[in-house]
Amino acid sequence: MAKGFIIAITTVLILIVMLLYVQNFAAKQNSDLSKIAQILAAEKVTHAWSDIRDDINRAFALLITKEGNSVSFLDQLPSEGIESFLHHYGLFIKNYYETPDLDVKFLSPDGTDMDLGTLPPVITIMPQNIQYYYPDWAKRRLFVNCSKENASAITQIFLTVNISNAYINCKPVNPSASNDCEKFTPNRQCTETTPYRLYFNLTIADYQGGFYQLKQNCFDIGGSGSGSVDNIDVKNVTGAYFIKVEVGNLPQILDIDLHNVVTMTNTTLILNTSDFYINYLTQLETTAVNYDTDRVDRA
Amino acid sequence: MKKAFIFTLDALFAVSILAVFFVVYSFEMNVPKETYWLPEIGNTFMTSLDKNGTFYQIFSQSDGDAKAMLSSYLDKLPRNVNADLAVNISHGSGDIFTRTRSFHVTRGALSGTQETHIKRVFANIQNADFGLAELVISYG
Repeated sequence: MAKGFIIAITTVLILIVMLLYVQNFAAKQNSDLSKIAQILAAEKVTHAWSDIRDDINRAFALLITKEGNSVSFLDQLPSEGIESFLHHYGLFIKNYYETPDLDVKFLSPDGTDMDLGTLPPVITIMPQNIQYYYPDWAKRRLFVNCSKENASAITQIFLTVNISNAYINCKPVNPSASNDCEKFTPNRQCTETTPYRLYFNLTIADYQGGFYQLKQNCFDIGGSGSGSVDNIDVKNVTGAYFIKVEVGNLPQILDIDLHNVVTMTNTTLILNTSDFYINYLTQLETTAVNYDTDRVDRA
Repeated sequence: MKKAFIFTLDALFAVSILAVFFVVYSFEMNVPKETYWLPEIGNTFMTSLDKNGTFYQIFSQSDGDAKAMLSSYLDKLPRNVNADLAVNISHGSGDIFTRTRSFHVTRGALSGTQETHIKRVFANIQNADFGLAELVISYG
């Protein structure tokens, strides 16, 4: 009797252990499946983000790099069709690209959902509130603005303009030209006591190898009316143009008017601190609807 | 009585072992492990074509040339994978998109089950032309 009882008890215990094993195995399998599904969802979100980001970046033709206390804007100017592209691209993504399990949003700098077609062409450096912007998406003109209160935040600006459809047609680059390259009118130079001043370094290069570097590099930007203006003569086969470079006056620090010249510009702002961040044109958010998985980053 | 009790327990034990094996086996068989690789294969394939500018080239190609180019890429997929790659190009005007081109290339026949769908978007910015490439892959 005792022997049978022990066998029975042992058998029941073994059964319980086996059932617990099965239960544990099933739970683990379900957990693994769920993890794999989440990994796949995360991959889908990341691939979608990268796919859209590439198109947006190609449209903006603008690369922003922050390093220490400097921020650089590598920018192709002017552009063609961005406004129409942005409007249609946002619609196309909503109508044809999104799936029931994938949601795509374009976010404004404050994180709210926005229509890509209404995107303002302004990039802001915060908290100094320095604005790098164009009047419109044609990108024929480029401005840098900063309030008087924050004017000391920018210690220096380096601007390099690489011209791809014209050549520099002023002296000394072209000795036979009628104008000098450096002819600021008005010409507001700074002194050591100038309260609002900007060290500005300009380099212009053309596709023929012509190269010009500005001699004067300190400007008074605290006056009123027009800033210091230099119209740099350039020429291509169809005619003569000029690139207007205006330094000052606050709140406008820089105004580059390209007219018909096609350029790649590199604008580097040196700040008095590395404690700043950039409000990019837009942030892109892709979300796997059925999972708690998304990616939000500047586009 | 005692004998019958032990026989019953033995039978119960045997049935339990069978049940355990059955549960483990059915889990193993029902989890389509290979399917996990399909999204990986498809995403890698489509991302490669997107990043190296292959899709963008379609804007300047005839349908015939584009199909030949995409077919040559489909041939590079693993041999046990079948695929259908559809490309639709639409022109945007106002809030309306008009489909201007549409074609697809295939390799093998899709299984109809355990298929993976992957999309990529590409655009010709100046012309407001928008392309959508949709890949469906399955094991052959």
